[in-house]
Amino acid sequence: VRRSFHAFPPGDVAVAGVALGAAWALKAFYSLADAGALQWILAPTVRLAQWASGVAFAWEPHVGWMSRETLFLVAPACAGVNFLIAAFVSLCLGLAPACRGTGERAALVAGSAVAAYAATVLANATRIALAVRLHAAGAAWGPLSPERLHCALGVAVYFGFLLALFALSSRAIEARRATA
Amino acid sequence: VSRPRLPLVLVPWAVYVGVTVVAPAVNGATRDPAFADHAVITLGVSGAVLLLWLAAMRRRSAVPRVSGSSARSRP
Repeated sequence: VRRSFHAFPPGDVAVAGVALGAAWALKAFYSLADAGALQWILAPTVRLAQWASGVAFAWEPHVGWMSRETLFLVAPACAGVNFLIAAFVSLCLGLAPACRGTGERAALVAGSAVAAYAATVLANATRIALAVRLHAAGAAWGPLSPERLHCALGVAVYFGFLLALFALSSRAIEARRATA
Repeated sequence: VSRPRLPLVLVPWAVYVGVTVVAPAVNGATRDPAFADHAVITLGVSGAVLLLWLAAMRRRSAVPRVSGSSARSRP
């Protein structure tokens, strides 16, 4: 056990600690937050989804963003905070072993936070734009009821974006290492 | 003797499943009847996307790459 623990450099353990601590704090905040407290992530996401889908959303205080045209609600549960946490933690844990020195590790944590936020807005706007179409069409397929289809679409979009974000970030670090 | 290395892409999958299925289950979401549906769909769809990604990466690495300079230098 001791040997395997020492296989992880202290710098990587520190990055993991910061990432998991931030994830825990964000999850605790999210569990109590209403739509107003999540405007920092809901508003840009809905604006982008509105632009992509052509469906107008209006702000409903304490509830979220509502499309009266399609009766589609973007509620706090749709804010994408779980994806934000998954993206941030994945980048920190997966790419920390490629970093050398405290400066690179600090840049990784800060860069991961920015990249995770941007990816969340983009992925969630894509998901909402597609889900609005699915909802309007009332699509269902075999055992996939409209609710299950909505869930499956969400997982496919979110996880596809997560893999793409991770692959792009890994390549960026490799390219930076090659030119250094 | 080096141990076989796991693909790094398993990190985002493990974290995603941890955040969306394991953490809610630990916090008591299993009492909600809809959680089983959510867990099956999350594991099934993310697993399928992961397998497709790994297959695409394997196929890509199996195709020999010809760089511009080496292609030009060939007779």
